Amino acid sequence: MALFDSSHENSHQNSVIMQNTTPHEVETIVGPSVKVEGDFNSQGNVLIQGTVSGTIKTDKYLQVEEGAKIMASVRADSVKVSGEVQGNIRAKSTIELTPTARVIGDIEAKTLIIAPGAILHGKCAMLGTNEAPDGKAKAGKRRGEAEGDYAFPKSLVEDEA
Amino acid sequence: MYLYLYDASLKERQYERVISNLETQMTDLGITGKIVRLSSLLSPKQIISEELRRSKDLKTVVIVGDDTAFTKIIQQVADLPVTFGWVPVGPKTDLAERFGLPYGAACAQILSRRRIMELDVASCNQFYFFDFCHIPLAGVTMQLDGSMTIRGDAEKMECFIWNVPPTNRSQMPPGYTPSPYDRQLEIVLMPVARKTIFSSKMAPPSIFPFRDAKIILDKPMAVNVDGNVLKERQLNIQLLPKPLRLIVHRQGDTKAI
Repeated sequence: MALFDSSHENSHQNSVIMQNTTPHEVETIVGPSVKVEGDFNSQGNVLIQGTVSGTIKTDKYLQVEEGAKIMASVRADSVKVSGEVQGNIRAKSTIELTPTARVIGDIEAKTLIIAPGAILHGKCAMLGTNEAPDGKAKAGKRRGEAEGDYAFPKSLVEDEA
Repeated sequence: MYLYLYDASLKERQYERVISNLETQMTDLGITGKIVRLSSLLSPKQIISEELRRSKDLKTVVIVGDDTAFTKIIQQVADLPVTFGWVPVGPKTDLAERFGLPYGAACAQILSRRRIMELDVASCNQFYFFDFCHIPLAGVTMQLDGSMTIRGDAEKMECFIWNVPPTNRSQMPPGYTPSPYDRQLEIVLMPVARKTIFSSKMAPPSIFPFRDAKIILDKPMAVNVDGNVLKERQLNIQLLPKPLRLIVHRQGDTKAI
């Protein structure tokens, strides 16, 4: 009897599990005892605790944990670094370097957060609001647009017009 | 038109009543069809292919049996262009319950409603798998999607590929839930951090999504693919380009419709 009861409970639990399961956002985890070589492409959030060499691309968030080592160029929507990165980092929105971060390479982002204690050997570039996401100012545009690196806030430009 | 494949184990007397109730329900609901009782000499793939050749009206193949029967048949026929139904009857029906399929005759109602979901199916060497693939502790090197190579620092790793969330969720890394609807697979690597005489302590897991994986083991190991054990040294695991169409119950539906 107890067996029947438990199986009934299980079946209920299982159907609840399936109901709660949504097509999940993929979380890629590179664990501390794993080495990855090559082109690492992901469409979800990525957490790196181990070693990666090659290139890393993700459409979402990338977190490099303390103890992790990346020897690769990195592209992501936003990046938080607590470990070591040897390579350029390019983020569409934010790069955050925590006190334990060590970056040897150029970084490029819209928003940059560097905590005291973080080490950065490389150039910084900020993506302007009207710049292309690859960071290159488009040549051959009107004089006003091509000249300055500084981007006026959109609201001001619209008001003037 | 429906084709019903009855698992060989259902010949036992204890299932007579369940089967007769099921057949009554099928008649009442107007979903009767050809019944084939499987045996070790009959290949499900051959039966379905022959029926497809004979009749163009064959759209649905219903497997009547438990988890083992279903996964065993799916391993051979997942690539055929039909919609599958499943009536769980037999000793172990956990997997069916995860899709909200009730035991025996009660499932006829669900078949008649025809709520079809497209589910991921993968192939592991020559077999298809629907539920899971488990590689025991071994020295593992793998290449995912032809672009990256993964090696473990540790001597040995245990690998899991779940397509459907398992009943015992404690095996899975916290926060991770596999989905059979996401058109990709994930491999979970659990390396050994410390080995003692009696047990092995596992290091934090790694999870990699993929569609195509080539896994090389240091020696031939007993790999469990949906309950069937293959002894292999090299595994080619691929997500099938066409999903499996399965009639499921609304409760088991993981997509919000």
